[in-house]
Amino acid sequence: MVLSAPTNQRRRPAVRFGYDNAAGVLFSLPAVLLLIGFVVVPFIMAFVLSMQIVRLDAARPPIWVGLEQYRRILFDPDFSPIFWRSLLNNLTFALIVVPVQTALAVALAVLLNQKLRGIAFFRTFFFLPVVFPMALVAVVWTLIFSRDSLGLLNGFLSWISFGAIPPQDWLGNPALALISIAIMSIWAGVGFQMVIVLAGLQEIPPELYEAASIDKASKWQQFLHVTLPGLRNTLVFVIMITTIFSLRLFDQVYIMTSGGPDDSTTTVMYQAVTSAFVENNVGRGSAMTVIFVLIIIAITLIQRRILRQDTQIS
Amino acid sequence: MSTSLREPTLTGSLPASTASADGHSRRKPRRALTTGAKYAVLVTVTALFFAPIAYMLIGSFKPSDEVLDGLGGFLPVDLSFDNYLGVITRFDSPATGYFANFYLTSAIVAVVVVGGGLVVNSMAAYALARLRWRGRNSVLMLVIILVILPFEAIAVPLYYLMNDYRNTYFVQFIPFVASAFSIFLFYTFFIGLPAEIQESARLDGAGPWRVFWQIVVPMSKPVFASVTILSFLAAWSSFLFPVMMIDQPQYRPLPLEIAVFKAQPPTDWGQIFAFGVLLVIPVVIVFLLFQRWFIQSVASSAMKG
Amino acid sequence: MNFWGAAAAVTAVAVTLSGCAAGSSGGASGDGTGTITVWAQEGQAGEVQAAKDEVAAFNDSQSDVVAELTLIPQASYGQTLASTKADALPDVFEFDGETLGSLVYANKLMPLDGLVDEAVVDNQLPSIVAEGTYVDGSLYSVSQYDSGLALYGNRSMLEAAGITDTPTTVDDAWTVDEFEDAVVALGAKSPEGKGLDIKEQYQGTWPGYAFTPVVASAGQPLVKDGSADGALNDPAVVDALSRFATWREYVDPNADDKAFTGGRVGLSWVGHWTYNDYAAALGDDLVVIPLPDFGNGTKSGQGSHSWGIGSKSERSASAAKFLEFIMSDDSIGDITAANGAVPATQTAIAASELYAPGGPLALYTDQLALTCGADDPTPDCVTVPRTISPAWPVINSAFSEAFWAIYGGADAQEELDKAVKTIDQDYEDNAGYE
Repeated sequence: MVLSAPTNQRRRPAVRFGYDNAAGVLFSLPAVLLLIGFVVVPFIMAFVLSMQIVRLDAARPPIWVGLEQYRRILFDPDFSPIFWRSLLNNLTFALIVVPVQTALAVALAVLLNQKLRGIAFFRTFFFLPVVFPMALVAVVWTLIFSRDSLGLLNGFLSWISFGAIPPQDWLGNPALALISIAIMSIWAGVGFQMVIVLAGLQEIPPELYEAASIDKASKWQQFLHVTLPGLRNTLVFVIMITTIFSLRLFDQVYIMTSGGPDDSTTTVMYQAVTSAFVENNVGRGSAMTVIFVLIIIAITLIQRRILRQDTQIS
Repeated sequence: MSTSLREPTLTGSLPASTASADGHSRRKPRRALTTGAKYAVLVTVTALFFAPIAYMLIGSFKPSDEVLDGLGGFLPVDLSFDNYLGVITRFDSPATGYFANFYLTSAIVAVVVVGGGLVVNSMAAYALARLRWRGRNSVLMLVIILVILPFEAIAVPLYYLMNDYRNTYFVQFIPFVASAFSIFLFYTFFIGLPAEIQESARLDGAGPWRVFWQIVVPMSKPVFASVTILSFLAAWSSFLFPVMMIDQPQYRPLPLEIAVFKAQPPTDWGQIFAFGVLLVIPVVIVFLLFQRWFIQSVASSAMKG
Repeated sequence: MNFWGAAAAVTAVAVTLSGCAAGSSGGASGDGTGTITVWAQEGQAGEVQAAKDEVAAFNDSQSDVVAELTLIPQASYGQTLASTKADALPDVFEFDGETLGSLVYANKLMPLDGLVDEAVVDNQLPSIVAEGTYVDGSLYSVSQYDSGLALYGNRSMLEAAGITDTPTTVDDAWTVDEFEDAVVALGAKSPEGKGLDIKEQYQGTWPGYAFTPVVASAGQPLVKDGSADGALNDPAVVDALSRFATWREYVDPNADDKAFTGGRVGLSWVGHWTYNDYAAALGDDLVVIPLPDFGNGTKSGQGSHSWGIGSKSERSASAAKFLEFIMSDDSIGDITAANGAVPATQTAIAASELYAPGGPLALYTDQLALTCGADDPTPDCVTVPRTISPAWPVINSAFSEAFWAIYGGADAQEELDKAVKTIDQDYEDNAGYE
């Protein structure tokens, strides 16, 4: 299913036409050329650049250094701490966002998957943040997260707790900044997942629920034994894209915290971009890019393995 | 692709909330109570969810010093269009760029990415799904490999390679026109189309070009709608690449400009929110009009082929 | 329109176009006319307005040259200059003085020698000339304003703590011991035990500016002949920074930026720019004191925004006219009135109420007159420019990181050795920036 090569020979033409070599090449040529030029070549260049010391405003030719950039990023005590810190931040972010956002998406989907008048109206609101560009969301939430009692979130928490919760410096406190960005990202992204889960819910055969109610299973038991197993593949997919999304984290960090305070919100992508763009160290930025890609590939392979086990079972 | 979000099949209800709800129906008071409770939960959750957007909307009409005021930020008092006028007049010279520049940039990028993308990606997908030619399997493999590669993976080398095209529209759209992900969506759809009509057209002497444009494309409105919506959302939100490639105000897209605007002291929150509303309003209008398509396209992005 | 009408119109357009093309090639430096492009930073609203006003005033002042201003976001201004190829840079642009080394190294600036009126250059403060001169001996930039570091003191609080011999000139700066006594005495009088503010909340690379003078006052530059080894990790520097770290218990964290204005501490180690706030809060109680002497004389900082001409400018003569215009006393007077900085020319200083001899901030003027330039710090010079080298960004962040670590209690020798390694690695990676 997901991301696996579909079998394209399901229906063989009843009549053979011979090969459409010319048409096939011409039809695919524009896209293939663009993909090669703007994805494949840059991707290969990432490897090449990562083995050099190269500046963008190169007054002098690049210097070939082999795997030195990788050694520094991963092992050199002077350079590596910041990279490991950013990877740790990515993983922490994923550990917060993936379970919370997925659970919330399932809860919202179940909530919206009911025969109630006006349910589509409510669904609109949950999906609305999905169409908001992340840059805008980050700007709005920067203000929501304002420290002291003037901030919207602080004002709200103080109100519902009758003043028991004191104002927090959401983005300025190293212990809170990453969590704050995670909360915002969940708000922005949960509608997307909710829709996918909703589609998954509606593919669960109603007979299963009928059978369950005949067995006098409670709603909660139905959820555990019918809904969740029925959503398995959907959830694996949702978890995978959310994990990859967590690794791609950049816009929010760039706009809201610039990686601070005390590197508590810096991420692998933020480091890669600032290495190349701010420190003018294109080689190091490229090396981080390559490491980033390897992590993405690893996650994809793990996900495919999980799915394959599933097909073997069923 | 058979997903219909309109007809829920699951009628399970939430565990009844203790929130009070007045049951008006005399016939089935208990049923009415749970229905009322369901609505109470829905309304509360929706209100919490909508709050940030409401905050922006209300704030965009309020004086800047009243936006940052705890929960008072929600109070709709002292409303005016001053922030909107301020945003338009603030960008008053080539030095700062004009407001229209930012809109135009985002629009050009979105139109080329979406329009160009529909043509090149659908054609490539059709060639992969329905034409038999040498090299097809290699190209298919390429597409499948590239689907998992997010843009972030190539941002840095692309920045290095395309630096000669800084501050152009070109650099903002060209890397995004061809998309392995779009090709994949088209491909899974085309594979699922009945082959018979196409084959009989071929038998009647129609070439692949005519078959594609006159038979396949009209049959494929749902996938074209999905790809349009998904690529439009991505193009309108584009941020990372413009950060690296654009500094001239004339070529700044809206998301980049709002980040620049926010970073410029003294921060005028009322105007920033007004800018934000103007930034998002076209997308929201289109979304409200074509909501069903939006939601289906997202559901289809889960690649249920 | 008939055929001939259309043909005539096309011809007219073609003639106009070729006319324009011919007009734009006026020799290597141009003839001092035409349109020039100008980039400035899009920062504080007041400064943005000042930049717009200045360009408008220039365009009104003469009819030969038209300047077209573009504002570039301040947050990414350095990246913009680094990413833009030399031939895509404007004729004239503003930049942070500390990036001059990188810009010259990348061949993005044109030497101003012989281009900008010599009288204008001679009128600049010595510190500005030093900061704009690269290792090749050429001058690449001019500036409208400069900066400086000193201690601001609260006279009443100092006197209450028994300190009456407060120095006010570079010649009688406190020694480290005297300074420490003052800080301790102030702390003893304070309910929180704090006596000093060093703008801890600025974080980041603040030490690269604020505490490089400590290193210089210990007798060393950050980098000597393309290596930090033996300079930044010299025993005298290790001692000076270790000593500095012991004052931490007396330093107010200043998260609200009100430690000095709110009367919590009696001394504030900061730049000239806080003067307006401080003077408003303290009035006559405000005194300006040179930084303490760690053995090699008192030292201070310098450097601010600079202006230069793009190396590929075809209208450098016109660009030079623009630079000359914005270096006029009127222009400098306007901008320094807006941002409170030290006027960067002798004549503008003489006209300044704050910075002229006898003015409340004359100490800054005196300090800048005694710039150390690119040479190693001697006991007689005072202000140290940030290292004029493409390695500066690395030096800046390595030193700042080491400073914060030492200040936080880490071993000074270890941290400085680490910084030295990072800096020397950068020189090595770039073949010494030859």
